[in-house]
Amino acid sequence: MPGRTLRMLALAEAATLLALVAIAVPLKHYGGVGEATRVLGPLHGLVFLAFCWAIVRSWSEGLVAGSDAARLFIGACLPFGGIVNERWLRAKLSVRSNGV
Amino acid sequence: MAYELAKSAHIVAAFLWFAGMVVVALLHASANGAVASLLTWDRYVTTPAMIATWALGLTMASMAGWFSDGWLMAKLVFVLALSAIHGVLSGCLRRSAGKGDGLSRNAVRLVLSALIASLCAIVFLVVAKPF
Repeated sequence: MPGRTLRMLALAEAATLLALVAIAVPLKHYGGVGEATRVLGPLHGLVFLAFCWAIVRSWSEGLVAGSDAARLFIGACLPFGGIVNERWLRAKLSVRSNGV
Repeated sequence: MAYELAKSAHIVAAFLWFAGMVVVALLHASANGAVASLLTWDRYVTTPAMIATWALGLTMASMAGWFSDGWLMAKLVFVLALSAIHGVLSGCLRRSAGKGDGLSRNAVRLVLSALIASLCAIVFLVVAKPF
């Protein structure tokens, strides 16, 4: 199925965002452990940039329309948004590759 | 400032020289046409190089404490533009491999101008750190 990189990056972006918000930030503020945000913050930033790049590439390739690209970008800014979008993208690309 | 300008021009010239040689080599690499060679090169060399550039650049900026500097913020705008252009070019290349349609001649001219202008701005901002 086309768009494998885009879907994998959507999941990776969602996972690093959730780890950052649900684990690293509470550890820093309530446990006084700052190392988790120092590691996960830049890692999430890099994965977010890679995902944004993959959105631009997929739009340019014609895999997703402009409105789909906007939906993917907005979803990447919300916790769990990436997971919802990955499932949506998988269904959409599956229909497309089956020629339905 | 004259030294910084000469150094910036030297780096830009070296980049263009190297990029030109890579393009010529890739055009000769495949008997079935250049698109397959370019696609492989983009997947295994150009895209990993872009990710490494971002990771190493942000690491250096963090280590040197440059995030409060104006030149770095200005440079990041051009690097984002370059990354977006690469995304568009990479997508067009994949589309071209599948359907055979690519960028128009005018679009290529525009992309090349934007690439060279961004490269010049980035190199000058890094070398001179003017603000």
